Amino acid sequence: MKVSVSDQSSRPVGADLLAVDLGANYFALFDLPVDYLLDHQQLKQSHLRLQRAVHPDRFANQPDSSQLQAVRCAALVNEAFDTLSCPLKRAFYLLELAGHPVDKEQTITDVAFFEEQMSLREQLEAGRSRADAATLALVQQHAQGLMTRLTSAFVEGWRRGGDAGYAAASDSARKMHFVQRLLEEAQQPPATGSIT
Amino acid sequence: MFLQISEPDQSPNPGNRKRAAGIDLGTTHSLVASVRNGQPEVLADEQGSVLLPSVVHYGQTDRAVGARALEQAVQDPLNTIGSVKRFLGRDLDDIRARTPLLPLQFVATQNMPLVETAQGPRSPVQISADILSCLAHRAETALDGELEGVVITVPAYFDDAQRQATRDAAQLAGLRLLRLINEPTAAALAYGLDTDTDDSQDRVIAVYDLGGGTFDISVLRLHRGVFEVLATGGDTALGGDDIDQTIADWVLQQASCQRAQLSPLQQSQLLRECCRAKQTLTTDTCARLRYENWSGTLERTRFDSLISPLIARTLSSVAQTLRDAGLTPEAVDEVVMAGGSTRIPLVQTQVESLFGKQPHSHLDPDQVVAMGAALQADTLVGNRAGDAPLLLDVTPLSLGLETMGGLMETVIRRNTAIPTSRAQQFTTFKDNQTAMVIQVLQGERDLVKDNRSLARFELRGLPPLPAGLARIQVVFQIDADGLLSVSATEQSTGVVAEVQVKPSYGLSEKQIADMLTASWDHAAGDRDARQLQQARTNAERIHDALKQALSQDGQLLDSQEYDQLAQANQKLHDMLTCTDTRALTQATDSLVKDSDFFARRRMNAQLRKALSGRGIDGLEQGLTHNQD
Repeated sequence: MKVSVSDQSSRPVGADLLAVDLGANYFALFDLPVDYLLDHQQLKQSHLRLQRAVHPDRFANQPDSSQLQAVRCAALVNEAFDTLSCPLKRAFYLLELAGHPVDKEQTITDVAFFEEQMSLREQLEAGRSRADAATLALVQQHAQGLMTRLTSAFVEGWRRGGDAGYAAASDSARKMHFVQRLLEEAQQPPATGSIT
Repeated sequence: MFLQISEPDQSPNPGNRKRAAGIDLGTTHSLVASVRNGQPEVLADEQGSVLLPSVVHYGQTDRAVGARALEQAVQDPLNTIGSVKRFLGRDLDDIRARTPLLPLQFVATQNMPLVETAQGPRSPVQISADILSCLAHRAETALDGELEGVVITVPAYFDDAQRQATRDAAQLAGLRLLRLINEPTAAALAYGLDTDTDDSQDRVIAVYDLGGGTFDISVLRLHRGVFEVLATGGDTALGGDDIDQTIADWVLQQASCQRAQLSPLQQSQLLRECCRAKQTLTTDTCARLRYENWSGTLERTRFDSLISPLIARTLSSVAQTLRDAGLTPEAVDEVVMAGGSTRIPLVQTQVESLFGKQPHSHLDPDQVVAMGAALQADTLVGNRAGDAPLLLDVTPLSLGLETMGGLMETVIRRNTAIPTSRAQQFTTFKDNQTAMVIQVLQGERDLVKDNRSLARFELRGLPPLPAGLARIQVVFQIDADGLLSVSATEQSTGVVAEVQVKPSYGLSEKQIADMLTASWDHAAGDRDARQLQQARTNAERIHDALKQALSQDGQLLDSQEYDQLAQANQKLHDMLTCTDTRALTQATDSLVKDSDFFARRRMNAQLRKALSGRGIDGLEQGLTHNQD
């Protein structure tokens, strides 16, 4: 591992080397309209095309400085792809672009949502400790349904725009973040299986 | 459509192929391969052997690598070092905990264990460099000239310290390392080109790689010549060696012996006997074993039950990796086997039953990794153009930082596509705090103490501000070799913080330089000649690269810029025959610096060309849209 002190000011990683500030809009990078719903096939194809152009392997025979630029460019393209591929990250990113970044630390005050989450978690724990596949499947199904509803609410709020619309979208996005974590835990193998 | 794939810098030049090799630096044996007549070929030594035992013997006066070193293992076990890959990038406690049976004498130094030999203490990096030199020499003989670059394979599951140590070994051996690539990815590359029949279809490939000392599982998607690793997992301390140890335990139990009573000589004899029995059991249903006064028979069924816990560990890694990739075993189209231990019948049947399909094994599992590395070396050195495959790999382990309470906070998750970079913001928690310590970790566990500590660094010279006002941005970057670098800036005042690093493992640049110089001194004063040769090779490479760039992308320069660069490049060319190493190095460095703006411009042009031919207007529209 190498460590160095950067003399760059506070710009997005990699963006400074490009004449076009690609860091400003990941959708434009992949030739996609700024929207929650996107053409995954096109995202994928654009990603591979960009990687073919900037991946450091294409510059392996060039001076170190060119290789370093390629590393930073390719990292930026990967970061953009990752952000747009993942529904939750895409939602957060859209709010950021709209000038309403989500404060993930902010607590959720929706009591009904919280109670539902607590109940799902209890069922998840119970299902896991008993290795009860039926309960686990039920929890997953419930959480997925919740995710679908929250996603629709997010899209509706984001499209409406304005302070009220973005606030509603923000609220949905934070809740999606919760449900996502629950879903991830539900997909992990039961505690008996060792993870190396 | 707009699928016009741009091919930047490499044009094939059949008359002027560059010499490149792929090296599989293995735990028990190593290989070197090169592409000749369009096909990867493993290269043999004068005796016709392809496998070089990864063993080095340091005698009073001589040094032997490979089979000749192995012959010394029985008479002189303390000076005969094998399985050195297990010690790369590890500290002494690690090594003792993992391999208690070692007949070697270690001394601990500040950041790396050294092995006592008749030629003085040697680090695992130096020992690996000796193996690499031997293989490079073999390749240079076979290819009749100096190598321009090599690709070295590492287990996909190697952490940063282990990768860095491998890179240091290449540098110490005087080799230009084009890339470190992951062993299972190399195996997929060797098979992928071989079986690529239907180009339009995505295929999911799982590579099960059980070698002498390491286990890897990688899941890849192959799509139009792009090898995209979806997830990877494994165990860097699980392989054929452990199977030998398991048999040895059984023998000792049968013979009512204690391990601790064995001399180093007896230990290495016993392990050899067990390895032989294991190989016999690949084809036979029982193997005779003899140890001191005891002799007996190991049945295949007994052998299977002895090793099944080890195989179960590999299968649980496979399951986790498939989950990480979001796939079920049925979604895997093809299974590739690599590593000599996949010859074991139990391994084959278990892997087959897990995936429900027969694994590919028509390439020699010992050779397939080196062959893939050779293909990649051929591409990277510039011998291939448009049809070159592209490898997109991932980082195997999560990278994180120590937070309050001894917990690890993940910054880059495992299986993130590389290269990648993430910025993390920090702040001070006391008024006028001017320094802070950052601990960088790698691993999947929650607690700091259960993960690998890569480095601890101090940020000093922060501006004195009230608590919470300083904004320190630390950028973590993982490059295409899977290697990490860290940089830091204080943003609120623009004060650049000073970073002090204490790497937990590994050699500093200066240590490597010193070792390299020392090894040249050793080689009867040809140090100056070596240095000059390296400076020339480097100058030539930079000259060629710029020449090609000028002819391909000259239109990106105005005529004055073009003339300046062309003239400077010609000047460097004229200097190639000079004997002043220092002047040549300086001229090369300054040309690189002066042409840096051109490199940036080319990168931009590359990107724009790849942006589906839309040029800058489309982008600006995109930017306007988001401001709605």
